[in-house]
Amino acid sequence: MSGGRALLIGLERNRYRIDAGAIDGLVPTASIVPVPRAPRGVLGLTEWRGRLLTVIDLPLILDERPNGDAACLVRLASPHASTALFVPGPVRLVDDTADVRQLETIDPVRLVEAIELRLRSRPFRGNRGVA
Amino acid sequence: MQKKLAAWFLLVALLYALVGIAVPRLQPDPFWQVILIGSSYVVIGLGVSWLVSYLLTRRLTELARAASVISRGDLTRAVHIKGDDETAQLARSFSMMSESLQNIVLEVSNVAEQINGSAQSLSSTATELNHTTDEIAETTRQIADGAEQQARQVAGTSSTTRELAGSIELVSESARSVLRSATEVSSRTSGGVADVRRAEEGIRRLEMSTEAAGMQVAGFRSKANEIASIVNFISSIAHQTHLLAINAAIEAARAGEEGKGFAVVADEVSRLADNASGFADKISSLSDEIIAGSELVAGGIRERMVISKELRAVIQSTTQSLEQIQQSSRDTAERAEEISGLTESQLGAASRVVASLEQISGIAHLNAKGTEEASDATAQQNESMRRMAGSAHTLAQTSDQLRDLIEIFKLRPRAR
Repeated sequence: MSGGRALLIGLERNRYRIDAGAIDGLVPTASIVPVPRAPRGVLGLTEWRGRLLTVIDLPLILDERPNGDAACLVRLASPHASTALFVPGPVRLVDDTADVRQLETIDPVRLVEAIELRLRSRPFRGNRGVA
Repeated sequence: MQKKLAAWFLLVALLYALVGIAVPRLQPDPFWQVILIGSSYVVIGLGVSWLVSYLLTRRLTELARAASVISRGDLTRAVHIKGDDETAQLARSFSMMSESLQNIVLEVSNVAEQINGSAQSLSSTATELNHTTDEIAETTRQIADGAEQQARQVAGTSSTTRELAGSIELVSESARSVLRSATEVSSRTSGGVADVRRAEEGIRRLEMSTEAAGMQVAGFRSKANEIASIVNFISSIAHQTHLLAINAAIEAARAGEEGKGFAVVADEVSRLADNASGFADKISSLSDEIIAGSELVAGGIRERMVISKELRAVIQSTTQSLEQIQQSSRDTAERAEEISGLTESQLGAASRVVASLEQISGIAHLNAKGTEEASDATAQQNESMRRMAGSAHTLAQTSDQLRDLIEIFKLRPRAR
């Protein structure tokens, strides 16, 4: 879509790439509020410019660990514009060369779909008012 | 006696006259008259002569019989002859002699009894004396042994006392040495106390300067913390700038060809932000090192303060110890002086003891010699006693023989 840019993410063990077209933008990490009974991989909720964003714990999904102090939220592009990935590591926007394409690619759409599938397989059941 | 003889002469004369008168009357024959008168006269003369001889020898025979009885030892026989003639006087003298002899025999018997008793007493006394002398000899030998042992012990004691005197001399020398050392220690301790007080003052000044340095280091740390917070802020801005640059680059990529120039600018901004972030990280690490260094310095200062306080306490304790040592060394010097004086008097006493022991040793030797002589004398005395006992025994035997001899005499019982 972008025609040659990709976001590089450096976690503790590996570097990953995300197609720049799948990204709406990067925001600094604000306070993330945990959500009770959220599916595995959902870190919580945060607020960005009056909008509520669902924050996905990327290291947990990738079975990784944080790398350094720098952390940011990567907002996904539509149709998952209300979703952000928590990335605890350095990020850089680079030209999507062949070398870069050798790295493991994160597909945000599939990621979100997998989480949504988990969410659907375990629908919310309130403790109150339900017989 | 003369009257008796005159009477007898008259009686014989009368008989002759009677015969001379009667015969002529009875016998007329003259022949027969002569025969008768002659024979009568012869008969009368014979009778008179027998009578005279009888009267003369009768008392002498009695005297001779008494002498014979006395000669057999019987002094009980008394001779009683009356008259004043020589025979009666002889008989009286004989009786007196017998009496005297009896007295003498009695006296001799008594004396023999006494001699016998004395000899037996002397013999038993000599035997007892012999035993006593033997005991004395044994005791004298024991005394001699004791005297020799005493002499040996006194010699040993004298040697020990000389060794003791040597030891006392050594003690005296040691006490003098202790006195010198204690005096030196006292003077050196005085210098040490002054030095330690100066050191305490130095440490106090060092402590004050260290405290001031500690305060300065605390100020440095505060400044470094401030720097760190500023660097954090810069780092945060750089991070945000970096994110904004990436966002700008994404937007530029979306814009396509028209956004390329903007993309270049965004990349430059991103690079600058990266540089700023790198410098901020470097400053942060430097300020962290400064903070860590300040912590180390502050810890060192705190440790130094603690050490200096401990040092001060040690120095104060050392000062007290040195003062106590000073006092103790003074006391020691006084004691050593006293000991030195006492050992000198002990040395004099030991010398006197040695001299006295030598005198005692000489006396003990003399005693040993004297007891040996006494032992010899006792042996001689013992021999004399044995001889005396033998003599007493012989005397007792002799007195027994004398008593046996005296028992031959038969004495009249004496009126007591």
